[in-house]
Amino acid sequence: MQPTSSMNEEFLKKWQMGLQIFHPSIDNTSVHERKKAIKLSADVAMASLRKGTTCWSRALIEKTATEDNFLVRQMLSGIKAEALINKKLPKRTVCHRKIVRRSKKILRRKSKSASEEAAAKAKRLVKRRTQGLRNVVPGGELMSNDVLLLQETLDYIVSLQTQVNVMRSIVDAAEAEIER
Amino acid sequence: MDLSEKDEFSAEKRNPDNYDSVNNPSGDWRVDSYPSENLISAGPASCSPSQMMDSFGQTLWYDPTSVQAMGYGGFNGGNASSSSFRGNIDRSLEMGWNLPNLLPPKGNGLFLPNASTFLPPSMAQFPADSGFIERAARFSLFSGGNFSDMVNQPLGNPESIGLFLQGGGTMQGQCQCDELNVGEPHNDVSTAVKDPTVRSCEQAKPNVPGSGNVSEDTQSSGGNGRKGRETSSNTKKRKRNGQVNSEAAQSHRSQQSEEEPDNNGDKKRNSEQSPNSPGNKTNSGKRQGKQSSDLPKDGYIHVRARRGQATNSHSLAERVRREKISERMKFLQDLVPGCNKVTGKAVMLDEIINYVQSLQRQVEFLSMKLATVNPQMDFNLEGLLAKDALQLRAGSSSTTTPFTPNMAMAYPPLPHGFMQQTLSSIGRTISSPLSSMNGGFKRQETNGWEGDLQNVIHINYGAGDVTPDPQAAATASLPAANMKVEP
Repeated sequence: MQPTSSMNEEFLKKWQMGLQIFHPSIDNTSVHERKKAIKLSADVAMASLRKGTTCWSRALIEKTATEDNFLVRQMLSGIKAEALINKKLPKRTVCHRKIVRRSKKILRRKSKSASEEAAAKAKRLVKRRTQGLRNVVPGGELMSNDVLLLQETLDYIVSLQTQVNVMRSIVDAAEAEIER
Repeated sequence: MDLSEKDEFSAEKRNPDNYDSVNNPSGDWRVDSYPSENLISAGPASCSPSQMMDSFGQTLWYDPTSVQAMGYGGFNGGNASSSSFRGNIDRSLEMGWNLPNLLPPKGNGLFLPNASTFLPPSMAQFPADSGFIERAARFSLFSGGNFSDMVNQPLGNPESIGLFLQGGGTMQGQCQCDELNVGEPHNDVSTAVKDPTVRSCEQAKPNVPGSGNVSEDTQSSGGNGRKGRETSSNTKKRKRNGQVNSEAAQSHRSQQSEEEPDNNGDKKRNSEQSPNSPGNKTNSGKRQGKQSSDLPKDGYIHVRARRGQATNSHSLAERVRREKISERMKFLQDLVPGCNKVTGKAVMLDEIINYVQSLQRQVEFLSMKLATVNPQMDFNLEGLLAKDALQLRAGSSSTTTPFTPNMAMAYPPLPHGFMQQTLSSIGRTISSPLSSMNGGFKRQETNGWEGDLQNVIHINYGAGDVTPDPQAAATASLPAANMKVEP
């Protein structure tokens, strides 16, 4: 699935609404401040596109809220999605590393045949990558099973593509304007 | 949520005026019949891989875009809803938390698993009804909001919808159910499937007229109500052997497979064939599982063991999970550019991780660029909102020369309004008869070229939309645009 134009428009709308909040306080003279504001509003807009139905969107909003709760709340109220900030996330799965490592060692002792080892190695690779994916996708650690993780990843990728498309088009338009 | 479910249910009941007389009694039946049926309690606790609705990996992939595009306004020919429901089923199941939204009957119903517990009372007491109710419930239960963008392909939908309708009809006490393989519903009775059959019934209503044809098909399908789906999908065919579980599972699968085609064209119909891991399935075609699956997980997704496969509950659950994962991976393969040749989970995951990271980096870069380009941060994007200018392909942006004096006069340059002008120009371009904005976008425009269709650049969305190198893309696009714009 690819991002559609309607998605783009929605994202743009919400993004703009979020950015409006910064207009009064345009004494963000520092580039970094502005960049942060832009990115924050873009992230909030992207997450609100899903209206809290996906795990990553909720985790993303929570993440942005911890950085600047007030602004995020303002934005969400502007987008009329205030409820999003209160959505609960599933509990983080706590992993006791020592225990896991020990149990893995025990398991490894059993399989000695070559084919089994190869399969075990492949599994390990996959697990490592899955863990890496969890780190990248917001809220990945909260997802209990792989199927859910992959689903969320799919949705997240589409939203990211929307975000990038819209931002890039805006940048291009802005640059073209400057050039003239 | 229970309340919302009830509302929907009652709404559904109210809808068919014709069946008022029938509805009321049926409603009573439902209430009474709950305890007697082995309803699958789709509580959140039931969310476990083995209990996934999409037992055979035929997860209907959601299509967020389609959902939004359709506005998901209820019943788009019945297809959308059923597919969305179906697709969301396993999603809602998988999600460990309760989905707080129960959309109105028309909307993307995000049915909490709890809804199923509510729904059982609504299940028809009569076998004929309950079977369909269950199926309908299955469909509608998981119309999760998030991915509920199922685009139903017209392929299997009419038939499946028709079946639904029939189911709905039966629920309503219509005699349309007679046309259906009544045996099937009867068998399904015991397999409690959670779900708001009401919704599916409701959806079925509009298509009632078409149900007649479908019923015939179903009858001829030899046991599987959803014949159309079977042909297109790999639903496991069940023998009418009174195996309730198999029936339920089959209907699940058929439902799922039904919805699957509804996805975007991009999505491959992996269905059940895709998960065929080497050595796992004897024959995807031969889905006539002779072996019935155990039901250790009572009241959840009923999976049928494939021919020649172990019937251990663990292995079955494993198989279901594997199929689901492989199906997701296929979708991801479509989404991530350059992953067609890659095989294997580890490499695919690696690619996915890299892609997501690159996208995130692009966002950072673009936001930084925006910050520097526009110190005032005055993004007046109203012009863009109304236009389809957003259908932009990043690499094809080309807005170099378009702003002629005309436009300057029309939109007096404001110190902070450069964005506005840009957008206005784009908007003007769009407002011109070039209405093919759906598929493409037109970034460049000059007054002189207004109305000149040849100057419209149509960009198609492609998988490789986002390039991994934002800088290169950004810088390359402008020179290219320059070349194009200047005659």
